[in-house]
Amino acid sequence: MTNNYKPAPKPAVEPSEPAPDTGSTQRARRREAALRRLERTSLSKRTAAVLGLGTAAAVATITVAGSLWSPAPPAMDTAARAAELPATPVIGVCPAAPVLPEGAGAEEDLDFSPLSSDAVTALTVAAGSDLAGNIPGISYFPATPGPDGPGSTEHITDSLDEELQQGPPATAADDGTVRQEAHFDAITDPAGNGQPIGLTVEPVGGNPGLAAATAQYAATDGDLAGMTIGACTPAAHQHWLTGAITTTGTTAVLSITNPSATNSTVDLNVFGDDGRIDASGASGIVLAPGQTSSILVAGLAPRQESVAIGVSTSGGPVAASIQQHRLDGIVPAGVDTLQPAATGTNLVVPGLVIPDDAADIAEAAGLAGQTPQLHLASTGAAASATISLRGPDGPVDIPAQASAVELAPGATTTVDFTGVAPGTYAVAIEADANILASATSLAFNPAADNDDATGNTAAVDTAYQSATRPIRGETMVALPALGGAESQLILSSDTAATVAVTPITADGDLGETIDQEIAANSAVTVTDGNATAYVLETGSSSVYAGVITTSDAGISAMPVNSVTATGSGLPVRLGY
Amino acid sequence: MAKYHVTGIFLLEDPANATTEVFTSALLGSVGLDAAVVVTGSTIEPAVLGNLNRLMDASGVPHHHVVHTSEGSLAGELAEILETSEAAAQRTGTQSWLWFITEDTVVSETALAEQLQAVEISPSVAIAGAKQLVERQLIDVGLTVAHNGAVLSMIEPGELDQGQYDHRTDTFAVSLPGMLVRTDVFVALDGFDPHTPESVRTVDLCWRARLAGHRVAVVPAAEVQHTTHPEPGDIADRWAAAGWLRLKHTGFLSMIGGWLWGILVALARIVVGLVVKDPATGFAQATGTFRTLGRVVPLLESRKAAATTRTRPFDAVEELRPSRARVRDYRRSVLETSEPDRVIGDGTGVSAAPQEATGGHDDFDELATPERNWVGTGAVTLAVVFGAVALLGLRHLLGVPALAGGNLLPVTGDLGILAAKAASGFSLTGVGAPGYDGPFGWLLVLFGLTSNASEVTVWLWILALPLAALGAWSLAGAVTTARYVRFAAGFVWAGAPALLTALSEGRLGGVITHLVLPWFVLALLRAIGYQPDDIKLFRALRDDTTPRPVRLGRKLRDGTATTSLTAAAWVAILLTMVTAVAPIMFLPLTAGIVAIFCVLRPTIRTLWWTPLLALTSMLPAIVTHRFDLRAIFADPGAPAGYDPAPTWQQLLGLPHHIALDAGLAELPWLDVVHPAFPWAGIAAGVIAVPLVVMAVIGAIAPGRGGGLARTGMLTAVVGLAMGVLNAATIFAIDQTGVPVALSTIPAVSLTWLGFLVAAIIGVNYLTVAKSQLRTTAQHTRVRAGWPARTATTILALTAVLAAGVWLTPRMVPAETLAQARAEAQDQRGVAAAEAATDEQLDTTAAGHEHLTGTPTVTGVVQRSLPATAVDAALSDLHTRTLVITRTTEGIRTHLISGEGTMLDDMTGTWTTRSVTGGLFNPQPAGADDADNALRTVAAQLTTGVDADPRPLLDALGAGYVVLTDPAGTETSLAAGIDAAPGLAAVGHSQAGWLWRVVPDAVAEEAAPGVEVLTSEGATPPRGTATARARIVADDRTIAIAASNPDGSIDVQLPDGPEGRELVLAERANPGFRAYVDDQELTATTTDPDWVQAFELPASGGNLTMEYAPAAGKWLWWVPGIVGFMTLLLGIPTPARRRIREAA
Repeated sequence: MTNNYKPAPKPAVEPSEPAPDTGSTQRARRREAALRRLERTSLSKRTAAVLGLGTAAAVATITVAGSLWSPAPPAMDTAARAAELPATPVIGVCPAAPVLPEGAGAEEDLDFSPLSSDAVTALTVAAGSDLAGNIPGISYFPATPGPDGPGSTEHITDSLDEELQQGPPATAADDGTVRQEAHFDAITDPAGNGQPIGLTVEPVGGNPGLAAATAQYAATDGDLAGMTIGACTPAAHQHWLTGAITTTGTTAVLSITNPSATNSTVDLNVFGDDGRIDASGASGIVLAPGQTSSILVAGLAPRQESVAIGVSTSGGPVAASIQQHRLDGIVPAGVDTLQPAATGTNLVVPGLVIPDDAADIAEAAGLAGQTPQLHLASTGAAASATISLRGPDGPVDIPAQASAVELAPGATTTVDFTGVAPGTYAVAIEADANILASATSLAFNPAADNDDATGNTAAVDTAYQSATRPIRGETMVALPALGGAESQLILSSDTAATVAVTPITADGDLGETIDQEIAANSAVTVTDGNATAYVLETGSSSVYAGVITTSDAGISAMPVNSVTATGSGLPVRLGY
Repeated sequence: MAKYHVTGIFLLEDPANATTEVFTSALLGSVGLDAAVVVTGSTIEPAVLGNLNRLMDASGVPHHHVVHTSEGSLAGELAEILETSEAAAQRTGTQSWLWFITEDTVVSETALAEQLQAVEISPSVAIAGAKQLVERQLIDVGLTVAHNGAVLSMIEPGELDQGQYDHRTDTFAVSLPGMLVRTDVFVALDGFDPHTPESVRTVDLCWRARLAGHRVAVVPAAEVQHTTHPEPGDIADRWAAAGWLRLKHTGFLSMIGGWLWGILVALARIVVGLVVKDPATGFAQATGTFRTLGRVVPLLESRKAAATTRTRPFDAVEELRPSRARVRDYRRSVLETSEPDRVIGDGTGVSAAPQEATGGHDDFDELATPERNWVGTGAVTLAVVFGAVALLGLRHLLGVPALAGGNLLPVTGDLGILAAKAASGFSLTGVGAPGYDGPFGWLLVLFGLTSNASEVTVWLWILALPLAALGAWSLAGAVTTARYVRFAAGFVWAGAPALLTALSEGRLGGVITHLVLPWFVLALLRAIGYQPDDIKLFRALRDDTTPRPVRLGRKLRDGTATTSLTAAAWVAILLTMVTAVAPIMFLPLTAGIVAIFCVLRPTIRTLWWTPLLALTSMLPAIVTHRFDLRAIFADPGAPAGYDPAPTWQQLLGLPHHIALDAGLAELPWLDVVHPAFPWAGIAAGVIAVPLVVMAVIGAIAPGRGGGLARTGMLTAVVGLAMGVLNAATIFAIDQTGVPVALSTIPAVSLTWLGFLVAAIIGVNYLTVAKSQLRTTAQHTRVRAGWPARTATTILALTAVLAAGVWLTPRMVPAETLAQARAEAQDQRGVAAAEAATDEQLDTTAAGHEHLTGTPTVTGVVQRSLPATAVDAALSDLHTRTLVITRTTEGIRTHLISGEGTMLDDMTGTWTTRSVTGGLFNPQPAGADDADNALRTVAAQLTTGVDADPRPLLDALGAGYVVLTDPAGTETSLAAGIDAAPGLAAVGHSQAGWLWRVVPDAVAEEAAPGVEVLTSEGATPPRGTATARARIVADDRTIAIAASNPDGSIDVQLPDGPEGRELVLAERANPGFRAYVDDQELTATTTDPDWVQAFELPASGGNLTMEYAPAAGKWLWWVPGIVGFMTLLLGIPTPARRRIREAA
């Protein structure tokens, strides 16, 4: 783009060019002159070509250099991060004591009264501290049947400072030493009104506080003679319950409690022997904060050998359990609390007791199904399940008919363990679709025998254990305390694992930790007469734990589930 | 003649160069002087003074020497001598007169005699002037002053003295040389006014004499010969003098008015100067005017002094002044004679219409190709072809209100808000962040001038293909004259894979850059006066006379090329447009301009300032972000991650990485032909290789065109380098977690443009250089040889292929396409498996790749939020909406202010906050407290944590929560949010589930919500306690303060309790200022401590709050003024006439 153009001299006539036409010759001359000017004023052809090839080479060079340099995308971890959630108190619900359906006579002859004369309830609460000796604040309140809000709140332990609750986990006390403490409390007749109890455990160091509570009921006379224990379970939006029976002689009452601060709308999915049951009144049950509601399961699914109920809520989370008691005529045939069961394809029910006299019990029973049983339910698709029993030394032989079972979609079934060698087991179920399970243990209940009045001598008590989720990290277990209760902690694992078990005495002192080894596919039993609670800690993610308690008033069982921080780990990305 | 005592005053600025004749003519006239005074500057050589003394002595005139300084008053310096003169005159009973002579003038012998005779006849004449001449040419015969203050002679330049003015006597003023002044009048008027600009001191003296009741006359018989025509003087000086005269000799009120008017006039002169492409003159005029306007004190002093001698009203001189019409006539005649090179007609004197096509426009086309069709046929064909392709391919965008996908989002509809966002230093996005979005915001304001900016983006998309084709066609017109080549260039540019990819994937910067670049290069070529070789050649063919000056722009020294200020202005404007949509492109384009300026500096002076507009438009962003280059250069628009192509693929015109061994996703049917073929690579090669080959041919061409082609190749080098740079610059992480590099599309477009220009030259070379040299004289018609035709056809066909590849999947029904792809995928899989078994090679089955981008642009509605939320957001509550969306990785959340997330919210500040670390070592940025609050509340709501979210929602100003779920399938997540306390479900709509944040129970008892403070006082509650600005006492919201649309607050605050605070749902920023009755409030933060708050006094008053950005809004005035001036320059006018000043 040089501008050194100058007017041309007179065009020279091209000598070799003939000139047939004057006009066109003239123009040809001009053209030649113009071309020559053009060539003279610009680069020579050779220079131009060299420069041009130079620029082409520059293009090639930058291409090669750029391709070779090829800036590798910098290693950026762009995964969405979990949002920091404020640790919130864990609100659990402890099941209420069993009650008879309304109208059960109060004015009758005491000997024949369905009411119990010596029924007692208690709440045992155990809590562990963090490494600085901070025990989480624990309080409880009774739920009410009406929509007027929960009862007054009672504190079991004092609340910690907000900073201790939400701050980082403590690694040591102020003096630099590690201080670990525990707390144990047994509260008799905590609710006053016989209703479920909401239990609030405040967080410590940004994590849910280490605490557990167990509700216990025991009676030796009346229709509700027997003993039942129930772990206080955190409220959630979805629960699955199985093992309810609605045949004659059995009363199952579903109890749903909303311990949260907002209304809940509860929908029930009911599954019976032949599949899903369209139950009237099973949806749109509104619960005010602090309200509890009882629903007769027989009203939802009459005459079923095994009923499973899915409880789902929108709004505030709820807790659900089923109280179930059976009468063999007028002979008490067991009272227990059915607690939510874990669903999945690989389930473990940690705690099935087959007593030495199991055959006698079955024989003496006037009711169907008074044998060690497994209740299974499909939550959706048809499933085929394989069942095994884990003893202390690994799987034990079970009858062929009990080892495999087919489930129609949404149907329930029971599996009879008659014939299995006596012992304490964990039941492992593998299925090809989501199922849920619970196991029933039975024991004679001499305390409830009432030979004076009726001559019945074969009172039985039942213990329902539901499938649990594996325990994680530190887990607190509070054991029942009434009626000379003796509890066994049953630990089962899919793989070889070690669980550190630390007992807590009635004074709230931490005992010596023992490391309990569990072989793969086995179930071991831990018994410590002095322990009122245990702290379990394991690194394994396949250890299942349950408690079976026998007492003067009967037998009962409850699952052990770890409390996990809700919502932690949910990745949240900021969009635009 | 003894009646008069005349003192000659010789005013010598440069005595050394004064000729003796000056003195002798004055001293030895027919009437001699009675005394002489030599007035010189302070630095006069003694020898010169000696010579002068000898000269005076020789003529026997008593003489004095007076040193005059420009600041001093001549009358004061002369006082003593004048006294002496007057005394001497009185002694002799004569009248004392002063006769002024300057050093370059020679008076005629009888001059003094004639003048004395005149004053003798008319005793009221106090000042008598002389006729000023250069030989026989008149300079002036008396002066007059136009109404605008300009001193005029009313003599046309070059007018010969034929005695035509000899009848003149009374005149407004006279020139200094040969001016005869009565001494007492001179003394009374205190001589020349030292404050008055020197050039008009004489006029000023005459004016004052007139107003003092004296007459001023010219004596045409007295002649003063000048050696040369006096220089007209600096334009600025002349305007300063004119302004001075006008302001001095007028009434006080008129002076005030004139002063104000002067400001307007000065500004107007600048504008006019820009419009007529002569900014220097305009600025000089304004400078002069302002110089006078600035001298207020001297002006007042000068007026005061003049007032002492004034005896007559100001309008006494009115009849001596020429009418405006006369002045206008006079000016026109001056203008016409002063532009002798502007020839009417062909310069032969024949003014009739030219017989040949030699008129005022580029006519050689008509001459060279008289039988060809209209030149615009190619453009129309291109527009029709690509318009049809665009309509077919983008028919799903016809009639949609807005676009989304890629960088695209709807644009704010309200022009006022759009402008406020562009100007404000605080982005209201989310919980706010300081930062300007640079020129992009103003570009959107331009879009918004059509009243619907969203619609403009839609039409931009639909019209992009034809517009690109037209741009390249126009550019090609400056490089070649071959119409077929221009046509092909339009095809190649519109069919560029970069444009097609940008259209498919919603790359706003890529599309606009691609549309603007050809015009930018065209403007650049015009600005430097580039002329294609072949045009010059044709011109030479036509006639051998020296090339005619081209009429647009100014002549260059060699007279062949013209530079254009208009084109340079468009270079600046288009550069700013590119900078607005792809800020990083400012660097290579400016580098190019600077390089061209440096190379062509001797001839090109119009370019140096062109990057200024773009630079100043980035000024606020630069001041705000300082060294945060990421924020300054971030691509505007929603960040959308992509996989940048390696450089060798960019060479092939592919901006985004594709596996070249894959099949073509657009044409899966190709796999039926041969499933193992790398169809994507073949297509890319077919499209790119011919262009690159032609570019190389162009680069080796000789001549001016070859130079341009080589520049094009270097442009490609720069483009490729930019591509590498852009691909390596991660500036954000998009909302799916993909790192976002600066778009490579503008860089690839630049590369492609370099190749295109070089390729056109290549075709030219094949056409002109070869075929012309071989043509015999009989075939003078320019004819493209077969190589050129073939090359052009191939280029056009490659573009047809590219456009076809883009169009095909848009024309085939979706199911057919999906089925074909599935089948093709299977076939490729089989083929790859076979290849693997046969050759034992690890050939993984390459899938299908989109050569022209994955279609992601969709039409959306302007407002994506439920209407209730939008209404509250646009009310003076300014509530925000928390939006939660479930994604594969968890949930995504964002906070929306106004009617939704808008394109104009996507400032660099906002988009780049997801990345930190060095420019080439980016790291994901941790969220700040405000972001964490947002994330926490979203997680809290979706995970059923039983905590009250209202404190956080209040802090965020969120009055609504939306769960994005158009299908209504997220019932469980919705149920979880239902559980949160304080949220009332509103229902499900097109946008998803909506919840309203309800006031807590305490406030609910009386009436729902709290009262709203507005500028009219407190107004009743509106059912909410959540808003952007709240008055909080004891952690409870007690009132809401209404916000203005631009985010400021101006409300009446009632009295209230101690310790209340104004809490703003904004990130705390030191730029916020709040006042109660002009009393500044203490800024503080509240819990959570990222929230801006102010402590309020117990007493009420007028509460105001505003944001004062670090880089003040006034900074926009800089690009604003530069832009206005550039725009004036950019208005195409027939720029041939400079502002000529009357002499």
